[in-house]
Amino acid sequence: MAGKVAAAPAKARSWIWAQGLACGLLVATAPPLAVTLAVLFAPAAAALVVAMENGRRIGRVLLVYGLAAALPWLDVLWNSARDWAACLDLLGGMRLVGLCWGAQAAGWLLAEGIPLVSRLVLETRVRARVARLRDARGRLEEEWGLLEEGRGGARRLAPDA
Amino acid sequence: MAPPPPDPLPTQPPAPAAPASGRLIAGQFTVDLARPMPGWGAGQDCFVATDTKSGRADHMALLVRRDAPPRVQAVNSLATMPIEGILTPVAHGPAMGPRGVPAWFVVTQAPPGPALWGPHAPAPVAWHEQDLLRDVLRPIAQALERLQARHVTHRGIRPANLFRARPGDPATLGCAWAAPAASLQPAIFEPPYAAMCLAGGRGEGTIGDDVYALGVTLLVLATGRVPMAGMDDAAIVRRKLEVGSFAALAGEVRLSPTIGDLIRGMLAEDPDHRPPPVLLADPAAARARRVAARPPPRAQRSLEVGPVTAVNLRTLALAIATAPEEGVRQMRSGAVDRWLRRALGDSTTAVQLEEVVRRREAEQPAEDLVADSTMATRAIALLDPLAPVVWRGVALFPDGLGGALAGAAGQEGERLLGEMVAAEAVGSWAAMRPERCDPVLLRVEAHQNKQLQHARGLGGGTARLRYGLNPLLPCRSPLVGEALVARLPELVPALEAMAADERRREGVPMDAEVAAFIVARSDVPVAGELARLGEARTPEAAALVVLRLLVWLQMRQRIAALPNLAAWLGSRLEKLLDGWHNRPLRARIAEALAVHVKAGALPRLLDLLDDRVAKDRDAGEAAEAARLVARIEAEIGELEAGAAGRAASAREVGHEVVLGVGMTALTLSLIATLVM
Repeated sequence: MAGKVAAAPAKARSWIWAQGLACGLLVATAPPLAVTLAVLFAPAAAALVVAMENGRRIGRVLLVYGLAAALPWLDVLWNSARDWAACLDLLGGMRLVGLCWGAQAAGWLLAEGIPLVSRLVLETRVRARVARLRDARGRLEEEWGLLEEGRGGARRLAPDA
Repeated sequence: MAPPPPDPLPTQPPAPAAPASGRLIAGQFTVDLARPMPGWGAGQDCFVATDTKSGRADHMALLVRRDAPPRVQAVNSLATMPIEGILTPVAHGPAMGPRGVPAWFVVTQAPPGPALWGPHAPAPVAWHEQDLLRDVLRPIAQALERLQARHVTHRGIRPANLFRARPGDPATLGCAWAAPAASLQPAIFEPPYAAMCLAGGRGEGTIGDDVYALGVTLLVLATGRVPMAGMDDAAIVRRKLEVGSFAALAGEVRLSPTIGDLIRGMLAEDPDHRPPPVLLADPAAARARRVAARPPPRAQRSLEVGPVTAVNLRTLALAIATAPEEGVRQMRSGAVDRWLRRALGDSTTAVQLEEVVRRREAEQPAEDLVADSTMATRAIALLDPLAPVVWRGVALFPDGLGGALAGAAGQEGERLLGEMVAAEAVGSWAAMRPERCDPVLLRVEAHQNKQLQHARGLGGGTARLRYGLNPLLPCRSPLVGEALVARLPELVPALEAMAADERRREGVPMDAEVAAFIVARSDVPVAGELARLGEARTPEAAALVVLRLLVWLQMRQRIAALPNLAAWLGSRLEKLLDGWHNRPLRARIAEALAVHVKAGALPRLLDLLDDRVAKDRDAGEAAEAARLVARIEAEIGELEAGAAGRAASAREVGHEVVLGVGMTALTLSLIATLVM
C-alpha cells in the first residue's frame, strides 16, 4: 500500500520532467516559436497554474480550444520558428493572438457555463421529483392516518392533536 | 316452635273468585295478588290462584323467594301425578308478583282447611291418642309412603303445615317444594344434624328425616305445646346431641305408652333406626319394632372446646364444628386424643383421630388454614358419621350445596362455601364415612364442582356453581334489575330493558353474575368466550366479546332488534374504529355503525367490527403504505442530501462536454489544415 502511494507522485514527476524537457528543447532549438507559443497559450498556461482542481481540467479545455484555433496557422508558425522578426510580426498583427485567445476565452466560458446549465437542469428535475414524492407521501399519510400513528417508530401527532 | 301471631284473616280456604290478574302460569293459572293467604304457605307468602280452565279459585300460589329456589325435580315429579293426602304442586312458573316485581310461583291445590297449628288453628290442646293415630299418623305415613315410592322427600312436616277441613278429617300435608328442602323448618322439627346446617343446605335428606319431623309433630300435638320453646337453634342442637332427641324433646313429658314408644322410635338419631312410613301406617306394628340403639357412652369428665362442652363423641364433633380453630388446636396438641382415651375410654376412635392428625401434619405446612379445616372436616365425620359436612363453622349436606349457595350469595358464607368446594371437603368427608354414602360418587361430584368453580375468567367461581346447581335460581346481577331471569331466554330482554335507561349504561352489559348465569344455563360451551372477556385488556375489546355473546343469544332466540343494547355497546365499540387504518374505510364503517346501532342489529354490528379478513387486509395495506412512505422519505432525504454531488457531477459532465466539443473542433481544425 505504501509502495503504491509513493509511486503516484513519482509518475507525476516524470510527466513534469518530460514537459520540462520538451519546453527546454523548444526554447533551445526555436526560441521565437517558444515565445510565440507562450504568448498564444498564456491563458491556458495561467489556467493550468491557477485552476488546479479536477486535474486542471479548465487549463486543458483552454489548451484544446487554443490549439484548435492555432492549428490553421501551423505553417506560418513553422516558417517563423527561428525568425524573430516574423515572430514579432505575427504577434504584433494580433490576428493570430486574438483568434487564439478568443478561442480560449470561449472555451473558458463554455467550461464555466455548461456545468451551471447542467446543474440547473438537474436541480429542476430533482425538485420536481421531490415535490411529487412529498405529494404522494401526503396522500398516503392522509389516507392511512400515518401522521397520528407515527412513522419510523417516532410518534408524530396530527396538527390538531 | 313459637306459634305465629294471630291473623285476622279468614280461617277457611278462600272461596272461588274472579280470575286473578297477571300472567298465566303454565298457561293455566293466574295469581290474584289482591287476595293474599297469610299463614297458609308454611312460611312462604302465598296468594289465591285461579285455574282458568275451570274458572275456580281453588288453588294456592306460593311465592318463591329469589334466594331460595324451588325443588325443581320434586316439583316436576309430583306435578305429573298428584299424591293423595299432600298438597302436591300442579304447576310452577313466573308471574307478576307483589309491588309489580315479577316472581316465580309454585301452584298447589288449596288446603282443605286451616292448619293444625298457627294463626288460623283452634287454640292448642293436647290431642287424644286415637285422634292422633287416626287423623295424623296414619294419613301422613301413607302419604310419606307414596312420596317414598316416587323417590321424593317432604322435609316440611310440622303442625303448621298440616291441614284439615274439620275435626275428625285426616290431615293433609302442605307444600314444601317452593323452597330448598327443609329450609323453612324450625330446628325443633329437624334432626340435629340437619338443624345445624345452613337453612338452604340441609339437602333432600331421606324419608327418615320426614319420619323424625312427623315424630316431633306427634309430640307437639300430643302435649299441646312446643317442647324446648324459647331455646335458640344452637342450644336445641346441642341438647339433642347431648342426651338424644327423644330425651331432649320428651324427657320430662308424660306420654301414653303407645305414643311414647312410637315417638321414641321416630326420633332415633340414626335415620336407619327410625320406622319406615309403611310400618307407621300400622301403629301397632311400628310400636312393636324396637331397634336396639345404645345411647352413646358419656365421658367421665367433659372437654371444653370453645363455647361447647363435649361429653360424648357427638358433642365433641359438634364442638369442633362450632369452634373449628379451637378444636384443631386441641386435636394437634393431643388434648382431644388424651380425652378420648382417658375420659371416654374410646381408644379405637383415638387411634383413628390420631391418624387424621398425623396425615394433616405430614401433608401440609404447619400454618395452613385449609389443611386445618380439612382435618376438622375429617375429624367431625370420624367422630360422628351422621354429621353433615362442616367447613369452618358452615355445615351442609352435599346435596344441599346448591341451596346453601343460593342463600349465601353475596355474603360471607359464600366465600366459605367457595373455600369448601375448592378444598373438595365433601370428598374428604365422604371418605371418612364410606358405610353411609358412596364416597367415589361424592368425590367425583366434589371434583366436578371444584372444576366448575375454578373456570378461568368470568363465568366461573361460586356464581357458576350456584346457577349450575339451582336450575331455577334467577340471575342476581344488577344488570337485569328487578326482572326475573331464571332461564336463558329471559336474559336478553331483561338486559335490553335495563339498557333503556342511559344512566345505567356503565361498563359493558355483562358482569360475573350474568356470565355465570349464561354458562350454567347454556347447552353449548361458552366458557371460552367468557374467559376471553376476562382477559380483555381494553373496554372496547371487552365490549366486542360481549357483543359476540349477545349476538349468539339474539340469534338463538330469534330476537329481531335490540336497539338499547346496540346503543350501549355501540358507544363502547366506537373506539374499535381506531383499529382500522384506512381513513375513508373507517369513515364508511362509522357511518354503517351508526345505522346498525339505530336499527338495533347486533349481528350486523358484529359483522362490521369483527371482520377479521377485512381487518387483516387493512393492516397489511397499512403496513405496505407505511413502508412506501418510509421509502419515499428515504428517497427525498437522498435527493435533498445529494445537491453537492449533483453540482460536482454537473461540473464534471459540463467540463467533459466542453472538452469534447474542443476536441472535435481540434480534430476538424487538424483535418482542415492538412487538407488545405
